[in-house]
Amino acid sequence: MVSDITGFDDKRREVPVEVGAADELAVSEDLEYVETGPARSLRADALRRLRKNKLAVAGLIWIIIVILIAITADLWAPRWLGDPVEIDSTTAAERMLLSPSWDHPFGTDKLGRDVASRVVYGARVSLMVGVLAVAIAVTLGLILGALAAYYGGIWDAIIMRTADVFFAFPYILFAIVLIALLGPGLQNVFIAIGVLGWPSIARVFRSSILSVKENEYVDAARAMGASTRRILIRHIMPNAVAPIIVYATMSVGGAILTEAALSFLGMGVQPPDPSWGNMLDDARSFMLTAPWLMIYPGIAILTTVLAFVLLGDGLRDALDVKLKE
Amino acid sequence: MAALLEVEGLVKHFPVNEGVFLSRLGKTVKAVDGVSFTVDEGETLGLVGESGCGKSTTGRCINRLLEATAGRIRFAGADVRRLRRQDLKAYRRDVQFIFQDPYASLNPRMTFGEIMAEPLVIHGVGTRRERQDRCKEMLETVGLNPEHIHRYPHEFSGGQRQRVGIARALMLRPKMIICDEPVSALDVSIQAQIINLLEELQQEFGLTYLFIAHDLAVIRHICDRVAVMYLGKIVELGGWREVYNSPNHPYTQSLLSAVPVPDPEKQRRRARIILKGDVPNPIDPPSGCRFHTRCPLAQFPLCSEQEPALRQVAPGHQAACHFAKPFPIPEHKMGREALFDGDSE
Repeated sequence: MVSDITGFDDKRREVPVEVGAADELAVSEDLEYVETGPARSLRADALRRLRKNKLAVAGLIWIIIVILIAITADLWAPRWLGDPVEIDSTTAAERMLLSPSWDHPFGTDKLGRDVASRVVYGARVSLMVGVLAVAIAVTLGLILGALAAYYGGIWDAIIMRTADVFFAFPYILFAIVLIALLGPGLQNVFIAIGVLGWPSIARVFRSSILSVKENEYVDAARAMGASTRRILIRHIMPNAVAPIIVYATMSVGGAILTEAALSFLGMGVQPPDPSWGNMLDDARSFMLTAPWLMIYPGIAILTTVLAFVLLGDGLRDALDVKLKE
Repeated sequence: MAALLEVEGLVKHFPVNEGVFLSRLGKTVKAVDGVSFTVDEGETLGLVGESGCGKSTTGRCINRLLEATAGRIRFAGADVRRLRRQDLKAYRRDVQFIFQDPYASLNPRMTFGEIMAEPLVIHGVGTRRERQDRCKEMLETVGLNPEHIHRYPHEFSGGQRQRVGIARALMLRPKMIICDEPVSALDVSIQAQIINLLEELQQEFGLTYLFIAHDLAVIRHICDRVAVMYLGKIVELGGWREVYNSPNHPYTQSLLSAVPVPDPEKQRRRARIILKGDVPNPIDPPSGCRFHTRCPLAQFPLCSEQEPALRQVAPGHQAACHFAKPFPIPEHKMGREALFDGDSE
């Protein structure tokens, strides 16, 4: 009878100690089954692992703060700090290049505008470019990477060699050329960054699919008669997208940096609209006399990019289901 | 008893250079090169051999995970290689697969319940509720707690996962299960439990097994008949008693002489046949008898020129050797080192 072979088939596993789980740990000798603590969903598990990573949590909190600041800017920034764009010509002369004070926490620029207000509005530009550019890159990259990996052969060759060509160009130069063709402006900045970003996403996704495809559970699904669509949706995609989530998160940081560089070079967001990049450009001539012009947008870029990279790093560990406790 | 599965002249060659430009070099790995056997309903046929001898490839060709290059496979009268879409799906319902690696064969992002319900979903069996009930029942049948249906594979050990792999294969009540080294990735203490489980399930569900393994002790325990493979060919085929007690092919003899005996006295007195060298490259297998490069009995030029056919040496017992007849294992005393290399799957 089958019931003869039930019971202890393996060593009893150590149960991850967690608050609340302690009661269920009491496994008596004559208990038939091995207990491993309460069932948890993969998402809850991942979140718990992410929470343990202090740096990633710090990154996430900072990103949330920046997002909140960017979204609510209209409600308070112009009133408290001053308009980020408009120049009040009657008072501009006495308000220019003021060092940080209670009224202007980050000082003012050469036209008498409040730097803090401009940094706040610059956050909008940076986040928008970062998120939209990566959205474009991920969409293109996922489609092309999946085509290359799944169909292989000639598709793979064409797509991946095209990606190699993209890699062979200096990235910033390529972006500048594209923007020169499209014309400067926020919209064209994220289109350019997005279009240039697909090859690395495609490459990561392709290799991820290829390695997932080799797993026996894919064979198992085929052996039981699953359709190609089902295999792709249920087995390959869920296991292949984790690296993309990680990579995309880090790419947002990269896109913000690229936008800053392009705006610094005058190819991105055009004055008088503020962006962290063109604020740095403005600050160049006052680097020594008014260092706050450079320091605050610089800190904004640094912390935000760092936050995305740290979060990405934390996600990498959190999303790995194979990680043993 | 009627043969459930008939395999005749099965050939699987893998092209070596599959680049865009180099595809016409014509070199192939001859993984399986003319294999024929039958499996009767309710019996267990063991397929043994070293790593790379083509036993797994044979199994995968039978359920069409791989497309055979040539040969005929008949299952319950149907020509398996010609099945299309719906018929293939129906066939896969009857022939399930148990995989070697319980870590790789379960999707880490699905719960045990989802994994086990999947074959039912694919074949449109039952409602959601019924499927869940059946999963619970089946977990109990394979000796796990039915409450585990909401758990993920990473929370469990190899033996427990393999039980789920077995449960999945049973969900559709198949006629035959191809077991591709189902215990070789497990601890020895767990192996016996899984083997016993498989035997009990066979009785309960009237299953037919094609059991692929490299461990002769495992094969001996579970199989009714044994086929020994070497470099893509079957070299000996027969009931396990005949094959184990009077092996006819020198390769089978050397394999058997490598199985340790628990009695040290006996073990010391046993004759050992130690094979020279490695398994030849299956891209370019030896001429004539494929075993002649390592065979202690090889006679030249006969063995290097003529390929021995699989012929009957006793009722229901075949061997492919020019010198096949019952004869004792040569009496040279040998050391205790491993008898053949490469058996470390």
